[in-house]
Amino acid sequence: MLNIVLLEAHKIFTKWRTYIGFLTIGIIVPLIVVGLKLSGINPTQNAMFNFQEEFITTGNLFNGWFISHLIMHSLFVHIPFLITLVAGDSLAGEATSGTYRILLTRPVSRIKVLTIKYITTIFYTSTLVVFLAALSIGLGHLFFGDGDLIIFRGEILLLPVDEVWWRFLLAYLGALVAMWTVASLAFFFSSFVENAIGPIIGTMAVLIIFLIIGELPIEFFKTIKPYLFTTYSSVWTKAFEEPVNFNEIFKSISYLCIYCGGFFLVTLYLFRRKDILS
Amino acid sequence: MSEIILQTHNLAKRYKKRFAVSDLNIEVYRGDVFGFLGPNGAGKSTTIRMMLSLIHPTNGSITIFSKRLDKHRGEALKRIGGLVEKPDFYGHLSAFDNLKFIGSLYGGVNKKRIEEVLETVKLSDRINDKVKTYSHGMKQRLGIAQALLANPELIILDEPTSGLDPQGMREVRELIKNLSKEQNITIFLSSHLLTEVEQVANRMAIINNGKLVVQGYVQELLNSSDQYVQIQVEPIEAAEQIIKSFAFIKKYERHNNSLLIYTSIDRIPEINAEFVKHNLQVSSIIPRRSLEDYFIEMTERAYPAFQNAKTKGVGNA
Repeated sequence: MLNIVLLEAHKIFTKWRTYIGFLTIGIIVPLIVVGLKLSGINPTQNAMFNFQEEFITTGNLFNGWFISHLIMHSLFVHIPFLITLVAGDSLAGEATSGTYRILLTRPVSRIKVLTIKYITTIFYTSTLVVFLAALSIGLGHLFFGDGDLIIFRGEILLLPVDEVWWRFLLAYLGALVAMWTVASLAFFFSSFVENAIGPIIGTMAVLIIFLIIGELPIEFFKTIKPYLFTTYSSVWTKAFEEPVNFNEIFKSISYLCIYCGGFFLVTLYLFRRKDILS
Repeated sequence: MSEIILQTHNLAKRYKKRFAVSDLNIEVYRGDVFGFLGPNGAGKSTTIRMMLSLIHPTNGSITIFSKRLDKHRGEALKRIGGLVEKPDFYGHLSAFDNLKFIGSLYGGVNKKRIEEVLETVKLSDRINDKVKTYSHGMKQRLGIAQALLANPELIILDEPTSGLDPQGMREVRELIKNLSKEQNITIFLSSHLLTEVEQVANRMAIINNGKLVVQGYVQELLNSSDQYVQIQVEPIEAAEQIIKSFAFIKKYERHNNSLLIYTSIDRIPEINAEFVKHNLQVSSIIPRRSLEDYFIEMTERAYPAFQNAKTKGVGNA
């Protein structure tokens, strides 16, 4: 099994499409960091403008952690889009290229084939998120140094430097599971069609619609909000609250895991019965 | 009688209201090169996809190596190599990497075996080239290589010469003959190229509109069909009069500018001599006894309108 997973990973990581995500992050993150450095703009100063008379700030608030936290907001829409490029192609790509006929005429069960493809999709998703984390934290610190993390979210929250690292670890753990959910949804859509465009558009449409529904102050939407996976996919933001509600984070991560498992099991059920006509 | 290694039992596949395959019962014996013939859309690929578990039958079942495919899928597929329709591979990978990946789905094959099968299909010199750089003929050969990879007892090939040039077709036919003779592999070969099956198969089935038309040994089926000679001759009316004088000709047909004379081939010199004696212009004499005619005959039964359009006049001598 491990051998097939490694070969499947080799298959994915020798495709140029796989590197679109890494390339995009590899361009955007340095652009933001270098751009902020060269422009001399300090967003923390702008945000603190109204409080200058009440507070005296010392130390470096415009630091690597602040930059990394800023970049993490791409986890709402931008990173999911990059994930769907590969996750949406995972099964649909086999149909497009006609290679289902190679995969599914062998003495391995469809359950195994699907599981292997799901594992590699999750692996790709994880590497992309880890790459985002490493690049944003690394470059942020390289250019802006270390310090306390200041967060503006209706109020000002200052998190001391010695606890920021584990908050980021927790946040990225949550982000990882949230992105797995997006990948699982794209994987699910990918099993229906013979072209990756459908799963990419489908996943993004669901994501955006659910995010909008989750924010609208309409009673009906409020009742369905607990059932939308997007309600829990912003779990990473909870790692930067004071105090940290670990129960809430655990609950959100658990729900997201259930969504992942649910999408996978439904995909499995449908895929086992699917006639391969491509 | 040899062991039956592949058998379908009232096999059927329905897409919405249309049956692509219906009540199909065929038997393939160990050592056969089994030709599975049918015009385009007859249901050949659907049948093969069911045999390789790509699609699920609506009714009926398939038995491979005496076990039901739906219940012993993995066990059966371990002993089968298959090539379904056009050979598609991971274009961004080399032939070696493609076969390594496919081999992993059998539990792994060693480098030597990969090199062996590529040598068999004469692709050794392109082993590390990306498959997207291959021509169609090379992909077709790679398709056969992947079917051979796990030392199968049965190979199912769906139109393996499709899209090849005459040289490529001949090479694939030779390869199929060699696999059967030298490696004793049973081969199930679908084709709409009837001459191809005639050249390589010992047994065959003809399928049309999803239904079995006939199956049996190629030679027996050929012998049971009428033999005739197609002669292009002018003036054709005079030729008809001469034919009527031959007692051994029981039946003839007028087909465009030719006469289709139902007789054995050894009577041709006699007929030709008589035409020449009466100063008739004989342009061509073609003995027709091929599987292709037999196939057309079988399929035309399903399309009588087509047959009528082709045959202008029918007479009895």
